[in-house]
Amino acid sequence: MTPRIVAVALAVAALAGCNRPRPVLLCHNSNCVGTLDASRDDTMPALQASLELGPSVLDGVEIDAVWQNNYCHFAHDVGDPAAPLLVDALDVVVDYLQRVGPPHSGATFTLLLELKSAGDANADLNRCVSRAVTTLERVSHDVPIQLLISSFDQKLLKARALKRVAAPLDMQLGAEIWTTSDLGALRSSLDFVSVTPSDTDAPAYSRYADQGYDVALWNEGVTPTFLDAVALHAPRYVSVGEAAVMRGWIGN
Amino acid sequence: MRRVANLCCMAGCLAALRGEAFATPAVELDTELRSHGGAHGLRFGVAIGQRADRVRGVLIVDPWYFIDEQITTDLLARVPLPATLELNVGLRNQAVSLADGMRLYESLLIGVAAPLRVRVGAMQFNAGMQLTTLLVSHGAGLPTQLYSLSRGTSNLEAYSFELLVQGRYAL
Repeated sequence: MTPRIVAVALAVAALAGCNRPRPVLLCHNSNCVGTLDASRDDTMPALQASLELGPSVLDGVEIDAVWQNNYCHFAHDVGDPAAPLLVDALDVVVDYLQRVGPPHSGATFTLLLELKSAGDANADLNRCVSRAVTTLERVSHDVPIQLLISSFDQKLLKARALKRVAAPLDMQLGAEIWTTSDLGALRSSLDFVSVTPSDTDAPAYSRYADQGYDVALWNEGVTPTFLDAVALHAPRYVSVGEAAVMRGWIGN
Repeated sequence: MRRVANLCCMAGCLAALRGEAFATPAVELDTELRSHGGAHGLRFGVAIGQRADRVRGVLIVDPWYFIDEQITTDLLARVPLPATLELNVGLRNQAVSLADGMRLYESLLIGVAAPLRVRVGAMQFNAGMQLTTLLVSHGAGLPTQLYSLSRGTSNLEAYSFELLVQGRYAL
């Protein structure tokens, strides 16, 4: 057997031994059960049905918050007058945690709270975080909770960075990024960046890694190209609409 | 008179060659390298048709299941176009292993390819581009999911654009 054949055989054996990444699996926009339907994003029925997937599938859930009419609402976008209050959505999560306990695949339940940009009302979005913390503290002594705060709005994140939350909640701060934005102003404040593979090129992933950020990948569907990105970039968090498919791919 | 005889001889030879071409199926073995797209970068194919300048059926298979427990199979029609271009159109099946079975993804493919002025022994090379549209996923005991043609989703990952280079060895 020539050295070249031995080298090829070793390379093949090494590749065959590769394991799939094991990211923290989050329910995208509180809507990850049944078939994909974006009109159900951040609605109470979808949140309740998604949590029924249970800890064998979900490590956590993503909840979007908007500030309107002097209240923090659970909604994907500003403008829905019938949107429920954020605290009501968080009550559903707390009830779930009190009922089922921590996730099957890890000791920590992860709640990703995305603050939707709202122009002049951005300052008030910080109150959403305070309300989330107050609600989650009801259960965080029994179930360890990691609270991820993210936003597309860099000014909002900068303000939030000054007001981090102490234990028992482990709070991480992340930027939602559509393109390869300049994160210079937030460099020392961020823990992770949240991106979708279709808007992110290979140099961007390298830059995030060089700057020490964890990566959260999100997508509605779990397609072969999305799985390719997960396998290639091994993100810390994955937030998807097809959570059961993703769990089947990751394994328990 | 001699010129007429030569012309008749050439015409006879050409007719004989055409007859040969009609009688022999055009079979090619392909090796293709492609950019990303959720499929393995190196796959192998076989193209079979009545002759090389007619429509041929192409089956492209994927031997790399043992690497990441997924395989991609393409079934294409390769249609000659003017100016040595080719249209490739067909279906792609991707099988991904999940905990409770195989999840199958079905896509439509459409692309064009053109020959390169590169030859290594008997192998000719083509370069091309391809658009893949994911239509549906099913299997593994989970709900069937429509993608690119489905309302209520904005799933950019359902579409992928690929560049590819093929090495073709005629049998």
